[in-house]
Amino acid sequence: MAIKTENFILNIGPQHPSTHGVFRLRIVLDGEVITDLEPVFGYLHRGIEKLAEGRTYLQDIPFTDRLDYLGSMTNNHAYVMAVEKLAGITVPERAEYIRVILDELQRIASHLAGLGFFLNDLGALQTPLLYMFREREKIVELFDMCSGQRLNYNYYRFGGFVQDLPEEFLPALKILLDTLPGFIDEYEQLISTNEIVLIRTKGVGVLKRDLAINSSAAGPVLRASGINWDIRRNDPYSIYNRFEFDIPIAKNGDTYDRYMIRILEMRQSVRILRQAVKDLPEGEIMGKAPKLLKPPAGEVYSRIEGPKGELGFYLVSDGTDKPYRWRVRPPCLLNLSALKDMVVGWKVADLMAIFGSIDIVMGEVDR
Amino acid sequence: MSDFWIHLLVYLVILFGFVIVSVLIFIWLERRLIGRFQLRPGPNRAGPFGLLQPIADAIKVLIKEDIIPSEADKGVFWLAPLVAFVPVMLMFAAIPFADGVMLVDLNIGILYILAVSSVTVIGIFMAGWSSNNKYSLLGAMRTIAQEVSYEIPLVLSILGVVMLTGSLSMNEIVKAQDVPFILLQPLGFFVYLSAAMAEVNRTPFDLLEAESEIIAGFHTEYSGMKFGLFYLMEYAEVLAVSAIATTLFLGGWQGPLLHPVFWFIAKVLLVFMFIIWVRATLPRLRIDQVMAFGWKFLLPLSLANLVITAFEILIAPDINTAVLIGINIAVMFGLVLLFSRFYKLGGGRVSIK
Amino acid sequence: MTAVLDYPQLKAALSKELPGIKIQADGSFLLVSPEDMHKVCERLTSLPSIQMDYLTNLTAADYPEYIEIIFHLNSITHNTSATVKTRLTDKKNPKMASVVDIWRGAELQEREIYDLFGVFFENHIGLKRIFLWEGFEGYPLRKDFVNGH
Repeated sequence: MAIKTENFILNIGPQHPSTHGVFRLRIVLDGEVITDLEPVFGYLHRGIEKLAEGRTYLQDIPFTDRLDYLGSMTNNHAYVMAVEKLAGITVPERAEYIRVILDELQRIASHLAGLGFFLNDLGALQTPLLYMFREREKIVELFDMCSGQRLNYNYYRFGGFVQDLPEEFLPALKILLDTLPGFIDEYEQLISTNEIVLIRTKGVGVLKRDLAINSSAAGPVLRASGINWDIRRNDPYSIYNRFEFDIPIAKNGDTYDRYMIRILEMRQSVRILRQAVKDLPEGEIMGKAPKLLKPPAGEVYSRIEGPKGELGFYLVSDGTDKPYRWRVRPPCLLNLSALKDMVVGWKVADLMAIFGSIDIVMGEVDR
Repeated sequence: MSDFWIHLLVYLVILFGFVIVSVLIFIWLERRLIGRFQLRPGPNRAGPFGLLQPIADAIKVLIKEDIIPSEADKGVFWLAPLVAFVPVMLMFAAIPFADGVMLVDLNIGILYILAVSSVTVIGIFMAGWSSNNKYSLLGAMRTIAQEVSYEIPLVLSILGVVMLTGSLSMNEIVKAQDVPFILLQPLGFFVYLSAAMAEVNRTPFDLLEAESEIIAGFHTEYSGMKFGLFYLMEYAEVLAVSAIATTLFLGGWQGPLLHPVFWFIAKVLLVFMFIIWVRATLPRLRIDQVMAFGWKFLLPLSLANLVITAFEILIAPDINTAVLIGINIAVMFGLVLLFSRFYKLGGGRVSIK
Repeated sequence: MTAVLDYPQLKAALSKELPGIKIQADGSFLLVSPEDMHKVCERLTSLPSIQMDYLTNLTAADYPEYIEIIFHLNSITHNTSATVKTRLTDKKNPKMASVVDIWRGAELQEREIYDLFGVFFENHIGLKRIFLWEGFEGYPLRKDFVNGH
């Protein structure tokens, strides 16, 4: 006699310790195996794109901080670069070098937070999280020195920066660059040789190559699936073509690869930082930009390689001081396009591991 | 006759007090130690070094509102914490604190303990089922699977000790340990500790209360004193497991110079600190990996341990102890390494049509 | 450096493949009529010299006479990029064919355009609002949606 079974709908609700923000998933379970998945977005939708149309270009810079709030410096950079292209403003050398330094520091900080929370989701009881936050704290202190803020920096301006780096910044940065590689090795060794992490992540949640390209994934998720695509190499912006660095690529596209790529990227960021700090020129830090910016009518799409992936801004200007259309290309939202394919067939515990390895921040998904 | 009742009453009070005080101290110790592992001080506000923290927690739990979900099965919901907690207290009746100092010196001591400790599973399942909550049900189902599967390696690993002693009485087992049995039965100790950690739901096997997945598993809907009972039960179970491990493998209350009770408590603390260390370091396993670990790894190892112990007793009963210890440790390492090469942990992706 | 495709050449190649379609290639983008958009997108992915396999950005903008849908495409194999636009003149019931079957990444972005602009995409696998709740009236990113009305 066949046993009658019934599928079981579980709501992993907006309030949950592991969903990295307010995110809701409706999953259909057969025992412990997930057979269907439906994500529900919109719990953090603030209407930033509409709000930005009612404010001037300069007043929109703080909005960009609040998109991916763990990567504010890179968000600022992407927006400021788009407006500079639209209005034809040039940025002096010193400001470009400082931008690269701050971007790479932000990348390390964002990866540390992402990895710490990923290990937290695997169940390692916040111990690795706190160790990684110890390093992130040093970077956040550096940012605090420049901009006065610990989370939403609002530091970049059209044409460069308003205030130069304080004198304590470079010595503190040099000390950090000497100690950071040792800590990155420590994290890699502590976690990657751990049997339990290996069995929970190897082969789990594979995103195949073709699906990765087709579903517009970007950043570490794309590179973990074997595709050699990094905006800093393929479409260089700012002065990235002057630095030597490698792009880590993995082959399998599983959770372990996505995790490993972030550790390797942190090492490459340290490499770029060393080169930038060595070559940092003196000079002015603000280019010629009018006080009230009225870019000529036109449109631009410009993008950078943020820690989560390709962050792009599409701006349409109608000649006034307020943008006509202000669009963010959100890497976190598009990395989630293939979530269903990655998760179906695995168990509830794997859902958290896979979701943590994509590393999303809800501020950017919902805007 | 009245001696019996006086003895019973005195020991009941002592045991109860001991368990409650130990649990409070354990809670404090765990939070401070885990804090230290995570580079932070741990609770240090309530009293000097946070010593009053568990008392503050206990008071908070007692004065909280007792919320019962409206669709819950009220009788079962109310009974579940008791069914889970009482057997754990019953376990302490047969554990010796010093020579003969125990509530009742049963000649089937260890059998009684194992039998009684299996009843807590029913309590946990009652809690999960009656809460009328999908998360709790998921947690409860995982519990049954895990706790039932780990009973077998647990029992088999103890049988080696029983064979060496020739008796099931806990007091006899302690007295028979001129050399602590951890040296004569290293494989048994390893299997016992792993199976016991799985029985009491400690990391890496704590997916029943996996905070990052199903919030709190079977006790999601519990609040107030009922939650307090579950919390107490978890730590009392860990205390019981440490006490049993001390008695069976580490030589119980034996030790030079100082009073036996002191040695007993010191060894229990040692085992407990090891369990906390494992909790602070390892991430957790998935349910099918836990099952595979129990059935495919621990069970064959405990059977092998039984066979080897039987061989040693029958074939070479007068062998030099040191040589025996050496052989046993070598055999343990050999078997563990061999097994871990051979088996595959857990299922992979299930293909959905 | 990502090379932007030469639009007149692109127009010529596409017109040869699909005779009779309406394409304009003046300036920095390719303008296609809404009915031909799906066929053009198919060709853009399948023609081996173009191979636009990566949809970088799909968004819309509200102009006084029309709603413009903008596709920013990339080719990972050739490292080139292109911008393709289409204009929907019927602002009361704007609709066009969905490109989900060509690029999976369009699924969530088309839902966003439906949610915030009101454009209906035919043959989408599950078109419903993504950020705003069901039962919300109006389309916020249109210019006539002012202060919550």
